Amino acid sequence: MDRRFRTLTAGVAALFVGAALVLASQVVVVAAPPAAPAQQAQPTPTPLSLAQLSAIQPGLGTVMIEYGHRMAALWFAGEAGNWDLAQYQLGEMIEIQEVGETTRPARAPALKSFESSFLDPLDEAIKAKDKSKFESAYNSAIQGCNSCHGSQTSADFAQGFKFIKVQVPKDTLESIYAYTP
Amino acid sequence: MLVLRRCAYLAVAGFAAALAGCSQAPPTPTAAPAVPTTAPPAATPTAPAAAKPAASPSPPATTASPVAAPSPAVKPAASPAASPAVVAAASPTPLSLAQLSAIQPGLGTVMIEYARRMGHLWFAEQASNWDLAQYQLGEMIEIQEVGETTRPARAPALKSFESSFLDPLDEAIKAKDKGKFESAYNSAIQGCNSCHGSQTSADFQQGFTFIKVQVPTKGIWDIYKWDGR
Repeated sequence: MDRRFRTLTAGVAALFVGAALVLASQVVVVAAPPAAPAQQAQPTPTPLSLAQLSAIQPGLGTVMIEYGHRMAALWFAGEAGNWDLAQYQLGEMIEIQEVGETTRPARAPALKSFESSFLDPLDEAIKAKDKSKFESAYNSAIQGCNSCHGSQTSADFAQGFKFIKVQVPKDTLESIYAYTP
Repeated sequence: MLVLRRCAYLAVAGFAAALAGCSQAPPTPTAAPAVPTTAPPAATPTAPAAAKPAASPSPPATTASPVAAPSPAVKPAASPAASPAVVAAASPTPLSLAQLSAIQPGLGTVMIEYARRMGHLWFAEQASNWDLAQYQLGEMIEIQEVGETTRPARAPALKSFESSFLDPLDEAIKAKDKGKFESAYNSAIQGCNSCHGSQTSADFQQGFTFIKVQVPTKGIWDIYKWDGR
């Protein structure tokens, strides 16, 4: 018998064996859960190492959840004339932004640039309790968010993050997200 | 089960190798099974960047005025496009203990989760989902403990809030008593606002009275009362 043919035959046999084993393992998986005992909360293995802790710190994606939340709250505070709350939200935005600058230092220049370009004018408007200046600065900042998203890329999103669109919120905090591309 | 899977993968790998062998004359029985790499990608111990002071026992002053970093104060129209597009910024691991301490959630961040769960707590009870109510309450206490650790100067106020307002909620939930729960919830909302008023910081020496919460109506974030009155 030709050696190539023998090899192919052996390979096909191996595939069948493999497929059978995969199926068998799936059957075991399907059958397993009911037998598994309910687990008590697994305590964190402490202490975690510096490397482990470092690896689980919030990246920019997580930071942006709070950032978006506060950006929206900032709008409603400004609209309600609650300038102290607006000032507080702005300060907290800068604080959480600094977390992102630490965990994702390569993004820090863009974050700092956003801060000086868009948060500083908002700060001025808030301190002046100037609603129209605030709204104008807020609108610019929203554009700034979107343009920053578009300018940043990653290995997975080489085209940038322009699909993350925000807008002036309408009635709820979540309405800051514009889902339509 | 794991053994079965590994055998299966080996068999499939064998088949792949055999196919490869078909097209290339001497069938080399190599097919090294893909070794699961346990070692993480080389941790680059870079970046001991400007470490901020470790979590201070006193609540840190939230600098309202943005730090004038030596960044080129570009004031472009609408885009921070001055910054180059950066591809996948990797986290500098490991961070130092000081850096890690500095970026742990302060009370502001903790309160986002706290408020969210407080909002959920209401809707859980309205739906008579007592288990969910119990869960939300437990998680409130858990996230509160983060704040007690990162902002120890606030711990007494947080613990006092817990015993004054969360304990009665706990009792009402355990008793599945709606009337008692709603009364305890209303008290807790007042407790939140009075606690906000009692706490001060360098930037908000007048207290945080402007952060007002209320019984939510339609959604969890209705818990915020934007006008602060």
